[in-house]
Formats: sequence, structure tokens, C-alpha cells
Amino acid sequence: MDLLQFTVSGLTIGSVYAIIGIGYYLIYISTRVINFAQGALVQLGGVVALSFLISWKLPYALVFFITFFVAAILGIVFDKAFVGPAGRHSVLSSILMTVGGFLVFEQAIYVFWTKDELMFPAISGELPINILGVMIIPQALWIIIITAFILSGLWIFFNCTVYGSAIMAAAEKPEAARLVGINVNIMTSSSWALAAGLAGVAGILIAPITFAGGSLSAEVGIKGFVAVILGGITHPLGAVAGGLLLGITESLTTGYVSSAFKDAISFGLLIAVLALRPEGIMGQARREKV
Amino acid sequence: MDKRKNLIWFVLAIVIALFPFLGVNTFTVQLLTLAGIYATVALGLSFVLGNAGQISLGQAAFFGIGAFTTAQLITKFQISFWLALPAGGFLAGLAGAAPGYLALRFQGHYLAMVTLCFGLILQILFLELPSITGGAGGIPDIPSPFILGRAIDNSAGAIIKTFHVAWFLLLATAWLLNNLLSARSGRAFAAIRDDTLAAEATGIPVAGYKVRAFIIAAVLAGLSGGVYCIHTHYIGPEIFGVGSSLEFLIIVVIGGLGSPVGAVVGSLLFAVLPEVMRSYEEYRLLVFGCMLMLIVLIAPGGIWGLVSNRISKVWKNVKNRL
Repeated sequence: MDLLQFTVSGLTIGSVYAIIGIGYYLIYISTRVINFAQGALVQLGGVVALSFLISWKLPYALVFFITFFVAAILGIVFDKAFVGPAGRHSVLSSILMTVGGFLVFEQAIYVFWTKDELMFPAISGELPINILGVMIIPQALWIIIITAFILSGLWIFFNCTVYGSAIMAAAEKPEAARLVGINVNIMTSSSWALAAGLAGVAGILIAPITFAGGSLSAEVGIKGFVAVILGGITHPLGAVAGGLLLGITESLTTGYVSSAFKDAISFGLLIAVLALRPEGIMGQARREKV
Repeated sequence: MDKRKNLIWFVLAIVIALFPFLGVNTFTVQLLTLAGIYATVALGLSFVLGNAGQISLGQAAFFGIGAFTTAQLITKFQISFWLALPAGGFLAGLAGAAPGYLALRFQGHYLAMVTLCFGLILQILFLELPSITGGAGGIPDIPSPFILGRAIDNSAGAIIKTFHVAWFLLLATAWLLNNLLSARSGRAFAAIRDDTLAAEATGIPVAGYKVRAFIIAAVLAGLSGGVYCIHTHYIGPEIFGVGSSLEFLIIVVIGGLGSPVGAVVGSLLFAVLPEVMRSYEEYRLLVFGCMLMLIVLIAPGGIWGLVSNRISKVWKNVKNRL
């Protein structure tokens, strides 16, 4: 029974990693940049949403949408004004820029909100529900349901709408996309917007479990990255597979080995995967042309 | 030309030796000691980033390895600081080989993320291995080292101060790096930075040089970690986390990538600026983060790049007039 319990909690946290990981995937395929600021955007989403909820007293469902748009706009500005121009200098510049963005977003939370961890209300109820002998807190159910909802939404968006296909086309073959009349610039911005927005939403989902704010930005961001690398950064479903796998691995490690080294094992997993199978579980090996 | 260069090093050594006795107060000396310690780490990081063209986001981990090794050897085993310091540098260098080998497999963003993870893993180990690092409590009461029976610290009475240890270490490592870079290996590093493939094609042993660059940077960080622990007399795990790694990155980029003077300028700025604007303490890292982004955007050569450009322009004008 323990095993089932750990698996459920792993799936919960893994769902959040998957959403964060999708952000890395979108930005990577469209601009070849790994956005180091992703983790700080997740935390920023958490505190912004908390402000909307507590100070403005907005309804929970609305907060999801507003936070998504706030984070999305931040993502567009960050890309257009900073990461994009820096990337034209060199790869190193774009790395330094997103690392700088991480610092600025993280410090902005500390300065304009607080350095402390803030209680974040759960979507509904705190009392665990007993399902087939497994105790599940309602927030965990909500996380899994909302993630499933977001994932199917993304699937429909990218497979059944012209706009979604245009984003993928612009990411895969920018030149060809331009030839058929797709505005690659706008599509790149859309990727960044979607990625940042999803990070913000992930922040709302995870905050009732881990608190809003606090100093977890780097850890959360890297977990999302581990997820996408584990699954394969070139495969659309990579982040989902990797996220769930990482979540389960983590909760099993916490349950059976030690919670202190849980993070160290995840980070070690990243190095191991990159060294042994850089294309991830789902990805296909690709040779780089010289 | 060589004689003139030697003269510069000699003058710098004399300036460092005399500086604390020129009527500066103890507080300033303390502050500048810290700047010197940062500068040595920054020098190594700047070498990796600017000269070898690799990236390391986990530099504070090596700083930590050096500090914990030196501190433990001094406090637990009563070994002299002068033996403990190189031991710390050696262990840090040994650990530095790990990201060096990782750099053979990864480039760019991946390498950045991998070194970041490496730093995070070591940060966790610092915290979770109390038998080696003192755990969350850290290592308190690290005694000052002695030379010829006199304690080395920054108090007014000391003739040889921690300031001297920090800045002479910086000067010595800068001199060694300068020699390394003005020789054949300097051109090899530049070739690897500019085009790794082409460098490999011309027969430069790229792998060896990459690993060496990381080891050198780690040794520098380890040595300054050793000096740091006798400067503050206390070290805890929180000082050697990813936050500090990012601070070293800020120092290097703001000062100027790949230039030793830039590393020193960045460190001075990083140590002194927060003291100048004391009442805005909580904005410190926000300001430095914004500065980092702006510098990357408009002045990739850093502050020293801007200044040295201006100087060389003025110098040219003066030369033309004459």
C-alpha cells in the first residue's frame, strides 16, 4: 500500500515538473535557449497569484488565468528585450542573460513580497480523502486533474489549430515557415509567452504544497529541466514522461531511502542521463552536423 | 618589454605590501581583504569563461571544498595553515576535474546546467555530511595562522595581515595565469574558445586543455576558500551554495570576462558597493542582477572593457598628436 501511496504523491509533484518542463521544451525548440529563469518564474507565479487571491480577493479560477497572462507578458518582454538581443552575441551571452533574469525575478520576489515562505490556500479542503486505501489530499487530485486538462488543451492547440501548427512550424524550420507566410517573430514570442505562462500556473499548483515564495526557485527550475531532459527535450511528450518519472523517483527515494538526499539524487540523475543518453527516453539520437 | 612587465608586477607587490599601513582604517582593510578573496575566485572563473570559453555555474562549490578542507585540517588536526591551504587547493582541483570531464561531453546551455547541478549536489553534501563539514552549524572558531610567532589577522597591530595573504595569493595566481596565457597554451585556449572544431583539427589536444582550465579555476577557488576561512574564522554551508556561485558569475561579467583586471574591478565593486549603499541592503542582489543583464546586453566586455577601450583611444590620440 505504501508503494501506491508514494506513487500517487510522485505523480502529483511529477505533474508540476511536467508543466515546468514543457516550458523548457517550447523555448528550446523555438530559440535554442535553455531558460534558466524558469524556476524563478514559477515562484513569481506563486506570489503574484497569492496577491490576487488575498489582497484583491479574486476567485481562484480567475487567478489562474490572470497569473498565466501576467507571466506570459513577462516572458515576452524578457525574450524580446533581453534574451533575444543577447543571443545574437553568443551562446554564452544568452546563458548569462537568463541566469541574470533568474536573479532579478528571484530578488524581485524577496524585495517586493517577502523572503519568508507564505501559506497558500489549497483549491479546496485540506482533509485527505481515502481512495482505495490511499490517502490523497484534495490539492493532489486538483493538480493531477488540472495538469491533464492543460496537457490535453496543449495537445489540441498544437495538433488541431492553425496557430499551434504555425508555432511548431516556425520552431522546426524557420526559413520554410517564413516562405509560407508565418511570422516567425510572433511565433517565437508565443512560445516564450506559453512557456512563461505555464511556469506561472505551475507556481499556483505547487504553492499550496511547498508554500509560495521562499528560496526554492533554483531547485524547482532545475527539477523541470531534469524532467524535460529525462524524457527528451526534442520530443513533444518528453517533458510529460520525464516529469512523471522524476516525480515518482523522488517520492520513492523519499519513502525508502532518505529525504535529505532526494534532490541530490535528482540532480545526479540529470548528469547521468545527459552523459549516457542525452536524447532522453523518448527522443531519437541525432548526429550533429559540422 | 619583458623588463617593463616585470617592473609592473614588482610595483604591484610593493603597493600591496604597503597599502594597509597608509593610514586606512581596519574596516576598509577587512573589506578589501574580502574583495581580494573574491577576486582570486573570479580570476579562475573569468579564465574558464573568457579564455577557455567554457561555463561553470558551480564555482562556489570549489570555494567551499577549499574552505572546509583548510578549516578542518586546522581545527581538527592542528595542521599549520600553510600546509592546510595547499591541501584545500589540491582537493578542490581534484573535484574540479569532474566538471572538466563533463565539459568534454556538453557545451553551452547543457554544460551550464550540468555545472549548476554539480554545485547544487555539493551544496547538499556540505549540509548533510556533518562529520566532515559540521553540517548546518558549520565550523566555528577557526584560529588565525601564525608566521614567525606572530598571528596573522587584520588587527591594527599585526604586521602581516590577512589582507596580505589574500592579495599576494591573488597577485601570484594572476602572474602564473598571465605566464600561462602569454605562452603557447594561451593561444590554444583562445582557439578552443573561438572554434573548438577548428582547434581540434589543427592538432590542439582540446580535451586536455578543457579539463586543465576547469582544474585551474577550481584550484584558485579552493585556495581562496582557505584564505576565506581564516579571514572570517567561521564557515557554514550556506556560504558555498548556488547563490554564491551566481555572485561570482556577476563579479566576473560585470568586471569584464577574460581579463584579470576585470576580475579585480568586479570584486572591488561587489565588496565595496553594498557598503556604500548600506541602507538599501535588500536591493543589493536585485541591483547586481539588473547590472548583469544590462552589461551582457550593451557592454559584453564589462566595466573594465569599457574603461580600457576609452584609455586606449585617448592613448592613441595622444600618440598621434606627438
